Amino acid sequence: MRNEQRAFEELSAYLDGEARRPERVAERLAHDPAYAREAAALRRLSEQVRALPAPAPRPDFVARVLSGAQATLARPARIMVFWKPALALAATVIIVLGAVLYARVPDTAAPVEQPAAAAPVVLARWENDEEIVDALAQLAEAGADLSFFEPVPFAPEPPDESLAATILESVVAAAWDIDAVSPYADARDTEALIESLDATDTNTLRELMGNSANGGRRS
Amino acid sequence: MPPSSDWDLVARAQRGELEAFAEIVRRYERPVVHFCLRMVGSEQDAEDLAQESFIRLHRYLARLTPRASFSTALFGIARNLTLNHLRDARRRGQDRAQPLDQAPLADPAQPPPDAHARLRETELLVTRAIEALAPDHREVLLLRELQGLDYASIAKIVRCRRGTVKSRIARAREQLRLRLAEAGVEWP
Repeated sequence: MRNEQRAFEELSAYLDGEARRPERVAERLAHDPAYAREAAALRRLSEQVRALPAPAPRPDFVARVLSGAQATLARPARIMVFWKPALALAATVIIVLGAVLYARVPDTAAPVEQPAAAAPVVLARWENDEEIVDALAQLAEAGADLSFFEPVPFAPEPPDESLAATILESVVAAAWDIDAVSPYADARDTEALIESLDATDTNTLRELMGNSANGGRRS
Repeated sequence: MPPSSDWDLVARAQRGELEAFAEIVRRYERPVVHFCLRMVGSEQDAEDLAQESFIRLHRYLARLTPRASFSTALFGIARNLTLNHLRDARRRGQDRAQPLDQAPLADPAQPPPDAHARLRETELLVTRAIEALAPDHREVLLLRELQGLDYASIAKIVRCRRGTVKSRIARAREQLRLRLAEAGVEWP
């Protein structure tokens, strides 16, 4: 990143109270009139965006929401049979990439094709979407190939979106829609999670990755 | 009596108190509709999306736990719905984003507009400039400027790193500033 760009980014974050080194920005602002003018322009810009009028919802908005909420409650559970395997998978959570996990899998298991890309190991519990978010974001930024994972109940074809975002939405959406408790809910961190992986989950993962490697879809 | 916290209301709603959920809706209806409006550009669509956001929130009530900001959960749902809406609109070729040069600008032959008219004109230009941003830049800017959320909360909502939020907000501001300058908005 160019210095100029970085300085602008820092200034923008500084105005939000989020700069990494606010003292540096403050010092430059005190001595660099052009930088100070830029800060003033950004402040003005923020004011203009914040001044945009917020529309008032129609008076019956709350009533319509409550009516819709109650109607939803009255409907039977909408989990389709087709998605049961995906949801069951989401319940145990497993987003794992790369060879590190494979190194932990017993050698007696049947060999499966691995995805082409090797990447850091990442596990996440569906129950904790923040971990999933962070894990997938890190993977995507690292250029990892996440294509083996394809539950995707709610995002069937977004070719213009990043694959990671698609996967993420799917996992979290699936998580929202099922009642299940992750057996890893008490794991304190990723390492603890890796250590606690049991044979069932490992096999599920293998099946998932094998299906993907063969170009097949789960059903 | 002090107003109940969001999570107090959620806890009561989880116990089946519909009035507590109604209070949550009243508390957030305007910010959520506003966010949706600035994301999708249509008041009718924005209200529909906001309504659906609250309905989904109600459906997910049992799974909400007070470990994060309540607005993170609510705006996370609204954000997903608006992105899906934009995606569908793009597939149907109904993307509402317009080039900024299509926004009506002041006619130099006309007398200078009064202060109110200038304000309205600036509002329109800012609106158009926001609509012209890419959705991933628009959403972080709106969550920051309209909702006042910190970068960590925005990162949770849009599912990326805090550093990515920081750079997207800066880029959004840069583009907004350039577009407005091109459209003749005066800066201090």
